[in-house]
Amino acid sequence: MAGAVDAVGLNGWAMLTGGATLLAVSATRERPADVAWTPATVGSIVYPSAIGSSLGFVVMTVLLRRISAVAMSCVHLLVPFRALALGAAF
Amino acid sequence: MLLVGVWSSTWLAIKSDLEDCPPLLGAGMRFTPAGLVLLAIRVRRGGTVRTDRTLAIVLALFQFAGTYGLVYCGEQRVTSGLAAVLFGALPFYTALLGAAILPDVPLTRTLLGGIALAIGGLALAFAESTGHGDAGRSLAGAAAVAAAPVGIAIGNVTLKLHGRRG
Repeated sequence: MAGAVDAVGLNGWAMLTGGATLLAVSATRERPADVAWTPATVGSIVYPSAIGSSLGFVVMTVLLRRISAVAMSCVHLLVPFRALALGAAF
Repeated sequence: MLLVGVWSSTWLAIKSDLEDCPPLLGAGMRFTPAGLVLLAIRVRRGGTVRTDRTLAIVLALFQFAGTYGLVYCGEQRVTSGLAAVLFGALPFYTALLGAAILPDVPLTRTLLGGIALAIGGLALAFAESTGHGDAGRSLAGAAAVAAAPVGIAIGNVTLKLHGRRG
């Protein structure tokens, strides 16, 4: 596809801007002092950040060039089965 | 399949995160560094960080800030598994939005049947969500999570629309 937007750059900017927006809203409504900094807290931020967001959305953007938007979003139909299993396991 | 594995495990991580951290702050701390890392990777590989600004802003506001703000707030009140099930409404939104906006995606009978099934499933999930603890609170949480994928649907369809022009 000619002139396709680079998936890494696009998602990088989108996540940075989206994340900053969330932090800005958070600053007006939430108290950072409420955070309990345990290793589990750090892990549960870093894991979705690195694996879920960085890797996941780039793969998604690349896939969207090849398959339809509806087919792409059907990934989310399979997710609950594993999420329920994982949620039950822990 | 990789995406399924990854995105199914993140629901549990979000739940774990919310035990110790306010929702919007947690979501913001997840995406801001992820974005920085991606841009850093792009620069290290010698690429340009210039991108389609409109597309990036649409994705930022709908897909990331909108969707995940709602998800993190909602998941405070419902279990991680139920949240993932409700989020499964995504194809339904994408199908509707795609049919409305993309010229060559017609609303077929099969699609409409699938959408009917999806609504039935959502209704079941809502019924289930009210069975746990404080019904009003969990219903509000479930509604937030169920509304959240609209942001991603907007993102997906916008990306697809853009791809066609490109």
